[in-house]
Amino acid sequence: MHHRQFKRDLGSLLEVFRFIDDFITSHDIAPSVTQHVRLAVDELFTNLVRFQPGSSEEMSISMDAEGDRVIVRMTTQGVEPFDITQVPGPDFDAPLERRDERGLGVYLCRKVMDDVRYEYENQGRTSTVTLVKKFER
Amino acid sequence: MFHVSKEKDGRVYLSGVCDSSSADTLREAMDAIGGSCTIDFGGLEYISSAGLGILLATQKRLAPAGESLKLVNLGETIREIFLLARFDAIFEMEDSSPG
Repeated sequence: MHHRQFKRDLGSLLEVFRFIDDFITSHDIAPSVTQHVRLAVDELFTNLVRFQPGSSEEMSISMDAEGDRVIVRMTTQGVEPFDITQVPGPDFDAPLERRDERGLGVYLCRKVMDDVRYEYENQGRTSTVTLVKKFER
Repeated sequence: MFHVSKEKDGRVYLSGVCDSSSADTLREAMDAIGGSCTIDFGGLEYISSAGLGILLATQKRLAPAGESLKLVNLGETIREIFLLARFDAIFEMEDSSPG
């Protein structure tokens, strides 16, 4: 398993991308998967930094390949619950002047992944998001 | 690394990785645009929703004056993300830049 802790700071994103790229390259997975995994992880990491800034706990990211799937787990302690699987999508039927420039991130994360799961553990205030992406070699 | 440049042909060229940490650079460049403008994505490797939100906000700002952004030279991956965000309904988009 590929695993690392990252400081909860937007400046960590390039390191996160390198971590993802290293895994994809070393597992002989089609490069097209890289951008989708980067996007999904970026959106969730950014949400956490922006909307739950109070905790200094690092984010743990692990990656694994199981059969034809890449599994990414993002775990953070000391956060409030925020179930990304229940966030409504943007209103694409709204006219331009009412299109909201926020709210695209979680939507895109769910669209580019084949499965997104969310768990929250109250005692440690621990959030775990599991991202699943099918791939071809 | 993310880079924005405005060239003599009037286009704004984007290159590198536009994630949440570099989106302020894109915001500054878009804020400087006062009328219709072509944005060239030929050198852009990656863009997240932070960048998409800035493009959308710029289009909203320009539209009342009848001005708009045109997005050109979209690679396959960037185009896919724009289509998922339904940008094809609010931007003129071209896959390649006409000579």
